[in-house]
Amino acid sequence: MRSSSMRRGLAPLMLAGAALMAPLAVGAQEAEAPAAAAPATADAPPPAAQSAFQVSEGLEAMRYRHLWIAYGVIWLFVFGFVWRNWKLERATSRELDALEARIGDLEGGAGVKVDG
Amino acid sequence: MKPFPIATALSAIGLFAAHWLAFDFVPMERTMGAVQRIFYFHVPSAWLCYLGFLMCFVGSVGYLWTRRSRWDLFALASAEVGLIFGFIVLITGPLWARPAWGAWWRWEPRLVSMALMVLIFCAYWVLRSYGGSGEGVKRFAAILGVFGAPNIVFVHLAVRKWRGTHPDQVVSRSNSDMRIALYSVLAILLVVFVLLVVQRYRIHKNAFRVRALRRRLSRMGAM
Repeated sequence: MRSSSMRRGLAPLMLAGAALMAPLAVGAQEAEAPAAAAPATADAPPPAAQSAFQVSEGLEAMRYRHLWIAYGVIWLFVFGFVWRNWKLERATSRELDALEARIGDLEGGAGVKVDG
Repeated sequence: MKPFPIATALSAIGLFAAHWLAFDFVPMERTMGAVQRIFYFHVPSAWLCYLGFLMCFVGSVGYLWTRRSRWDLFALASAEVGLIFGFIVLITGPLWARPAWGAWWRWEPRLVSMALMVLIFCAYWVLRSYGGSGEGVKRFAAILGVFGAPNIVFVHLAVRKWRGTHPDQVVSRSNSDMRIALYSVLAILLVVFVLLVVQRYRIHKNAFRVRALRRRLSRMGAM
């Protein structure tokens, strides 16, 4: 009983740990990415007409990827926390109501009050 | 009319507005490009993390002074929400640093002191979650809260005092639209922060009452 509740309780900590590892997972893919894009000069010749679409592998693509991952992590944390709170609040309220009803029955219908 | 659901609905709308501000309203930053938009949630999250730990400090001092449970529950709820924002800072920071600095992490004063402060409050949270609900645990956690929170000063002054890679005073020198967006997102996240603290406080208060009722039932011989 205790160990299963401990496992449940450890879940958010493990989730946080996994999220902290996310940059490492992204980093493995980006180990070879260039540190900065080459600057364009004013007197450089205009680029030739593009004959095919090409995949962007540079810094700009990394910037967008990291932006989406960062906002994804923010939402994971905020919504995960809200969802967990909502579940916990419902469970504790239900348990509280059940215990109050039980004590009320045992005491012959007298109201139950516990100060916080 | 119940204020909590209304505030929750308003904060949900506010979060959509915060994304519009961060992604559409503000102009693109010239040097860092799109990744700079992490700033609009990274910085307010850091400030709210400070606020959570500061509130934990106040609650811990209140508990050590009065020994009333409501101070202890307030400290616990504040530390938990502060920790969530602290994790957001520690995860979004490296994701921003890699394209901006070319490295995920640098062992420089602001980053290290922030990570240490979050670890102190992780210890606080683990103690409260697995240490039981005894008086000694509450007292020890309150002492941890009292000694952990002053690190906010070190984290905040680390950039000015020891000069690292992490920028300082960026906000006041930024474009006015960027400042408007930052402070608006901060206000919206502050509402979310308050709602989360209230919700966590209610959960802990209910759990406290459940424990008290169980003790009462066991004294009555019904458990």
